[in-house]
Amino acid sequence: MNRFNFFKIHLVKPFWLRFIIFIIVGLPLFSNFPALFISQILSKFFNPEFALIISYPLISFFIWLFCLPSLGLNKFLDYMSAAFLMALTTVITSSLLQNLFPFIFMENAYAASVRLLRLYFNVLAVFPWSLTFINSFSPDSIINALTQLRTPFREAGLHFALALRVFQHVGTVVSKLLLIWKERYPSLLVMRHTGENKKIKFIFAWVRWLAYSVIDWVYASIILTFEPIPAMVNEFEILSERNKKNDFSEK
Amino acid sequence: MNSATYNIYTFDTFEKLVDRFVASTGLYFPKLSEGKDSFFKGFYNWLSAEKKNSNFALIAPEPSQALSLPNPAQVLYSALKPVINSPSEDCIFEYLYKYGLDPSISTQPITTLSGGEMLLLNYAKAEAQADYAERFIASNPIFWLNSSRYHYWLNLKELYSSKQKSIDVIVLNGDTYFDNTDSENDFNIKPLEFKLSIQEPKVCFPEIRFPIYHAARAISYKCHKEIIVKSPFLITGDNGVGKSIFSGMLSSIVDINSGNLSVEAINGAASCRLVFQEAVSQCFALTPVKLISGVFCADYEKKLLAQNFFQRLISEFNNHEELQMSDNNIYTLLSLKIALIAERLADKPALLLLDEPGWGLSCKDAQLLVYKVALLAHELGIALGIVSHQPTWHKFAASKLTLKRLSQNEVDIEYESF
Amino acid sequence: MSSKFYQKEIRKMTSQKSKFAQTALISALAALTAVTTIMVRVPIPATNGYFNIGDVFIILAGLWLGPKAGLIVGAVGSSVADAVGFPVYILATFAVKGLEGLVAGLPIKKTVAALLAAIVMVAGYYVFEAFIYPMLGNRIPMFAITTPEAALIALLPNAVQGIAGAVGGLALWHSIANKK
Repeated sequence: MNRFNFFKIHLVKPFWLRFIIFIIVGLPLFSNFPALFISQILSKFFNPEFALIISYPLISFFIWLFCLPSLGLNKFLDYMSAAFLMALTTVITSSLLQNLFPFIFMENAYAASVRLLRLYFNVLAVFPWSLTFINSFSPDSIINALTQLRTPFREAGLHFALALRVFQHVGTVVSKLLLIWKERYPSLLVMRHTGENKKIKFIFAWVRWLAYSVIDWVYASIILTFEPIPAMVNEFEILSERNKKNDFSEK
Repeated sequence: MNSATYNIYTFDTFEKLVDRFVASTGLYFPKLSEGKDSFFKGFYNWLSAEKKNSNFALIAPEPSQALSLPNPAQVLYSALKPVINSPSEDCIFEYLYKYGLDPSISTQPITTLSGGEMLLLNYAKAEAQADYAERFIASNPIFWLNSSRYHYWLNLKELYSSKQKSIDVIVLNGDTYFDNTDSENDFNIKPLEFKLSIQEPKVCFPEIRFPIYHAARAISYKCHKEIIVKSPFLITGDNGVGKSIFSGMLSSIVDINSGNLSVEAINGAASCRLVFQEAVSQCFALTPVKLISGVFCADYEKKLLAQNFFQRLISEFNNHEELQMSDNNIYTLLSLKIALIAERLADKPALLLLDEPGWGLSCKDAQLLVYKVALLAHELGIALGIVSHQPTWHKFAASKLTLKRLSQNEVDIEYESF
Repeated sequence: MSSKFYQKEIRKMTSQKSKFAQTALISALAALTAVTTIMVRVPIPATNGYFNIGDVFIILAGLWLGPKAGLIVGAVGSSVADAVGFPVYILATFAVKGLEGLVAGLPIKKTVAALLAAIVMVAGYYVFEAFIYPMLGNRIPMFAITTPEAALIALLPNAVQGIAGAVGGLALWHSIANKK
């Protein structure tokens, strides 16, 4: 067994223990208490204002360490690249606005800087934590449990199972359409042509092609999604009737 | 006392097959090939029709259509529930194992199973329903199976016969198993050569946990060679071995994580185009005319070429009166397949791959289509490959690539020239 | 037979047909909303939000299947999309998009309903980004991800998104739902 499995939160069972661990680790995201507590400790070594500021990156770093084993390096880096992009652009845009329109956004420069710095590290912590949280709880098991319970939950479980199946089906439809599109247009947003069009004519043709492509995508998604629905509905109606018959005969 | 019957109904078009299936089961299956207006009208009719349920064991025209629960375990659990009060995991595994399915797929999403696996799951489900289903209606029950698995169908048939339940089988003319009429055509195709380079390609599919769990998978093709392949050639192998993924890699729609796989035609072209098993999805719910004019909206020359090829191939099917109509208002699966092929040929790739070209076509139509496409493709200097486990295509092929499973994640490729 | 009467009849038929048919249709539209929201995402840097075209299906659901369906499709579909990438916005999305779907299903003229839904979406997100999230962020650091000034910046892309959703939803409704 991989020795790093111990650190993988998504493998922790039972699910309520996994949930509690997530809440404990994510406590700094729900309350200012941990940041204040850490800054109090650090203020013995640093200036209190500086101590408060460096408590935020410390918390973020701890949360990254928590998420990394569960996500794996590649996924973690993907999420962090998106998180950094979001955090940087938010903070830069906000500070630009602050400086360009100081009479509108009347806030002390220092206070604004601390707020934005806190926001920056917050985003960097929230993003991987929340995605790890969502990836660690599968709806399948909840629905499995519901479909096996007695009525009325079993009927609700059937509805959830149907909804999940439809979601699954839509995922298949869209990934299939993506493959089909990729096969037809390897560069995805470049139409098939021999390359002899003049530039302006090409741009017009491309815009027209793009517009029709969006329409084709929307209709194809709807039609291919709706196609198996009658058969699915029929099967679930039969299951529901059977469940009701079974319950009646058991009574 | 009920006398159980065993009836085989054969039809020459997929549309007639679906009509018969609908009439037998009372279910509604939309015909995507007739365009979106027709589709939405039909959907509305279904919504407004009275509730009509069928208590039959079914194998629908496409295997996934009768599998409405998210994973095999739930499918079998629901099928067994009326018979066994609380079907255990072991009981479910037993049913899966009985039909040659690995119990590890029990919690895998239905949508990740291959066509053959879905069909076998349908068999397991039908067996679970044998005690209470009124009858068994199966459409194309053998098509997706390798010949080594035909005994599963025989076992299921015997079970239903022993329970005095009628079985209706609805297939297309010339079905390999149920309507074994050998074609009398002589398929004389002069081979065309191209170079295929296989450098141990590997594909990895990462784990997905939300919203639905998909385990990580990897398939490694343990083969390192450069071969001069004779077209038309066959890519064949057991169910679930990785034929569709291999053809996806060839046509660059599946990204290769390591290794390499490339094609080089004699004229230097290196691209590969693929016609999927499901022609209707690949048409993006468009009609043949709109498909061709949409794809080549910026290339008048290729559009004319594709339309020319389309008309040329359509004219070969004189027995299909609806295709010869000048206004072309009736669209069938056959015309959609021809439109897809014509569009790809107009693009002049090095290689054209047809994944299960016989799907939804009678044996005669399928053979004629592939023969005429092979002639046209070779005329244009384009090699033709057929991805299939059906024995029909052996007589077409000048060579064969056989995919063999070495272990769960490793596949070997053998080349054989005829 | 007027379009309004016809739509009411279709809704009645759908509810008579089967609860499962309703579940299937609503799930399908919710899933399509989630997928279109995820696939076409243009980030709005100021607020950590993003521009998307998922509103087309939310408004279609409201116009076609009624306010309840619109509410579920908007709330669930968009929240699932947010769960994959922007989870902190789930709270806002659940409320705002749910309300948008609900308003689109109101028994008024379809064009008015669609436009009203778009306005509700833009106003709802502004309220959350300018006031609710900053206020929550003072107590719960997780929600300190947007600022009132950034919410002003986001008004324009949200308005474009709302209008595109309304126009697209109406067009789809005319094409799909007006069939006999």
